Amino acid sequence: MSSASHSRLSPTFWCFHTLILIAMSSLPWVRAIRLYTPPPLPAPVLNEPVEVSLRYDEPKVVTDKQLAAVLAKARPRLRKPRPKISVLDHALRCWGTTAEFADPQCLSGLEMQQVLLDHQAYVELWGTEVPPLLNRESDGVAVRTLEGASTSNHVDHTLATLAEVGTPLDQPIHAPGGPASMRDVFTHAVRNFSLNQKEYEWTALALALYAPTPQPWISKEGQWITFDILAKRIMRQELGTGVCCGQHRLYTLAVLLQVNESHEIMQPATAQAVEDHLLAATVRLTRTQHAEGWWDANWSHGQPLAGEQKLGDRSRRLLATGHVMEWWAIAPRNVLPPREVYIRAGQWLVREIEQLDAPSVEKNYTFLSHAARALALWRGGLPATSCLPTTCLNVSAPNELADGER
Amino acid sequence: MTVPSGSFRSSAEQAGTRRLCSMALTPILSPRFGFGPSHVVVCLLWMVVYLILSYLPLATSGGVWRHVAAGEHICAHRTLPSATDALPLAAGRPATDTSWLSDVLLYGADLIGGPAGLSTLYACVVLQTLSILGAVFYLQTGRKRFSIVGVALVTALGFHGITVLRPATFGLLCLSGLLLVFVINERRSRALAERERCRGADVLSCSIWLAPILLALWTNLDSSFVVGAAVLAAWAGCSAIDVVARQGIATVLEDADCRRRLLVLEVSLAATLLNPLGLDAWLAALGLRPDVLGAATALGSPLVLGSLAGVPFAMACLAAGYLLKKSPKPFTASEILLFTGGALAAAWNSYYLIWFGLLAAYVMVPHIAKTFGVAPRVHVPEVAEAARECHLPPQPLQFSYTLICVMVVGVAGLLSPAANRTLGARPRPRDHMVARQTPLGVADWLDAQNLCPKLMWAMPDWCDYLSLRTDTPVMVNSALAMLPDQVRSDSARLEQGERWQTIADRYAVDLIVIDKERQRRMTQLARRAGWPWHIAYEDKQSLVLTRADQPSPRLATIGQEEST
Repeated sequence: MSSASHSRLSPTFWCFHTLILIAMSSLPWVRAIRLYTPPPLPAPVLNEPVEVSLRYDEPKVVTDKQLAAVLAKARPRLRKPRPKISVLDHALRCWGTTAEFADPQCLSGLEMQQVLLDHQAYVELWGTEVPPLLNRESDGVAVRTLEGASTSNHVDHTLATLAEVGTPLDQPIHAPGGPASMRDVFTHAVRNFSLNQKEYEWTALALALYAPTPQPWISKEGQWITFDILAKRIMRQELGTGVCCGQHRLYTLAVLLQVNESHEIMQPATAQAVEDHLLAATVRLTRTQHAEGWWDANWSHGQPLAGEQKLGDRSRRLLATGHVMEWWAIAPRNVLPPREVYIRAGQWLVREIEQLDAPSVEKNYTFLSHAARALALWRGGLPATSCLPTTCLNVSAPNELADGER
Repeated sequence: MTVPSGSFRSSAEQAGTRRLCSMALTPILSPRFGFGPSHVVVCLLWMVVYLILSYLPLATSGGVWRHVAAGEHICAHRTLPSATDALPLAAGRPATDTSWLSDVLLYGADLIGGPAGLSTLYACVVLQTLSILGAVFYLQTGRKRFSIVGVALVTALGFHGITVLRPATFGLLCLSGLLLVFVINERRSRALAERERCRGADVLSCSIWLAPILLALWTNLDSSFVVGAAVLAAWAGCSAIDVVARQGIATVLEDADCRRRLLVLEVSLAATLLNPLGLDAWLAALGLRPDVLGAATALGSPLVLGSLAGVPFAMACLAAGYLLKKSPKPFTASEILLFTGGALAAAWNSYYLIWFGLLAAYVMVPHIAKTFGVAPRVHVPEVAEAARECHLPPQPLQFSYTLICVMVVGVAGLLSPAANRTLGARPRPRDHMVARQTPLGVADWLDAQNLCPKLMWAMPDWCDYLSLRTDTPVMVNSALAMLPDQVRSDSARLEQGERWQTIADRYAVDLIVIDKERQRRMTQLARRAGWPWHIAYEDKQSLVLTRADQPSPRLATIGQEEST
């Protein structure tokens, strides 16, 4: 090849090969940038959360009269300085946003919701000494959690509560930094979600109610999250371990099954595995139920309780039994125990709650709220709709009711 | 008579040689195989190295057992392993196995000979690497002593990398092969240039086209192929710099050699896409994907100059500085770039120290030879040598050193563990073949118990071995990069015994294997653990906690009633 032909070819040659080299070296970066797109939120996200349907109406679990008495005990008498946010959270979940009470000590459902979503309302109860409950962050609005009585006591419990009481995502909220919406709270929870975070039950619950889709999304840790993976994560943990004796995980699984019926969020095999898991829990519960109808923290194995327990006997049993009855109330019939098992449990709850005095109610309110809600669900309604006007909504003097009950 | 070196001889010269040789006793072997004492020394040295490598216990730090398990999966399912195959807690994370071919090779060695097979494979690969490097340095300097100096330099700089069997071991072999291709190409190109200069044609050596083939193979063996690509880029790019420095920028565009190097680089880069992951292999190698099984960058940390690895590194840098000043041969741009690039990579991540070792030796050895005034040995023209030998009286002991070399190789072969099976000798004890830290006792116990734990926790390197031996799902293994951050941090806390029961509960870990040497606090806590945990096994090395979630007698009775 002559040098003249070299000269003619050189610019073309070098331009062509420079382009090739640039393309070759830039391709990995282009792909990397695509890989590192911020994790998407699950889509589609519903504005109105899915409503959990009520399956049963069993008067033998709790009669109307008994239910009214139980619900009267579970009134949210929280109009006082510095009510625990966890109690308020539970009360809102039990009563919903439509509840109103004649008792001036009680906060209405809307007022409770406002404390959680409006910084001004929160400050009125808690003052300015404590940090705000809601914090605006770069990826949404965070709810302060696990930092004492002025905060939520479980990861994303407040979000799940608001989802369960039907709060839409476009509901305005007032965080210290200015107005926002429920969507910001949801976004923050999802963007910061880790499959193995300390408590994942409530985030999973909120996801099922707000984003019932089988499409995967990517967590902050690069994991593809689907409801199949969520369900498997929940089922991985041993029965009986975790918050509230592991019952919240079972409740979330029961909700996933319900949502799956309408939105097909899980593979059939996973749905079947969830049913099997719930049935396995039911079998254990059936075996370990006390003759009186209650369960304790050892429901999953029946062994004597190890070491010193944080809660007293009554509180533990109220907690375990109330939670069991709650998830059974929304679970499909094929995972339920023989009828006498849950009737016995319901009646034990009624008897036990009737015996609670005011200090005990205050002390055990969070457990009581689960039990009261469970009993209402077993009658096919929510506490606010099941409550009889004469015994609950219009009661202005709680002591009178207590006397009457006695 | 002036005879060009190499294998080109005129027909008259060849005829002359034949005549000369017909006058004397013609040896069966070519005189070229008549080794000297120096060959025996080199051979002895090489065989000692081979025996040492053969008897080195397999280190667990390279994740060799995890790679064997991955290879087993690949052979069994004909697919690359996914994240959850090895780690259930990595569900939902896409896995990128960048070393599938190494995994298969390791599995094959394990299948054939177990740990002994792996040990032999390791010894052969490392010896081959060192031999090729020895050849590279010999071709560069023409002196055996500098060949040994170069190999010693590589070993000193990359000792930690050489002593561990992992996919990068195959990568080292590929890099040494690439360097050999460079040296051979350089020599042939020079020889061709001498020949073709009179005809005015461009110089071209076909040997350089081995580079793309080597790189394609390397990409499938290990993610370190990126080192090879960088070396090739330096080789191609820096020749242009050298041309610019010599002749000005205008000549680069017309320089045939530069164009050829560019083509080789492009074809080599394209060859790296010939792997099951395609472009993602590059992302994995560059650390742009977090989901690489055994990510290279996750294996090391910034180099500490005061450490055992840092001191040779610092000395090499000082030596390079000295050579830069004193060497009569000027440093080329590619040499400077290879050295500084390798040094920066090693300083950033000590994982790259071994690669730096190879490149540093490749750059420095010719300069060492020049600096210390030893000229490459002038090759005696073959015809003249043959003539000289044919005129000499026959020497009965001409091949004595050759024979000694063969004997040395033979004895080394017999002494190596690989010969045990052939000779019917007693097999080497298992605990001698693997690193002292390998949990053999626990693995045997787990095998015997036939336990089916839901999830097992042990130190990551132990999990590799236990998972392979017992098919037990594990919480972590040495592919830590695969795991979500939360799992990694919880595993680290569990390792220290911090809230270990809560963490075990959260992940449903029902079997915990404790390394008594590395987890002293956890060992103490385990001894105090109450129900449902109990110590199920203990030996000098380890302690096993199992979870006893057995049903109470009442539950068991009800269960029996139901089952009947």
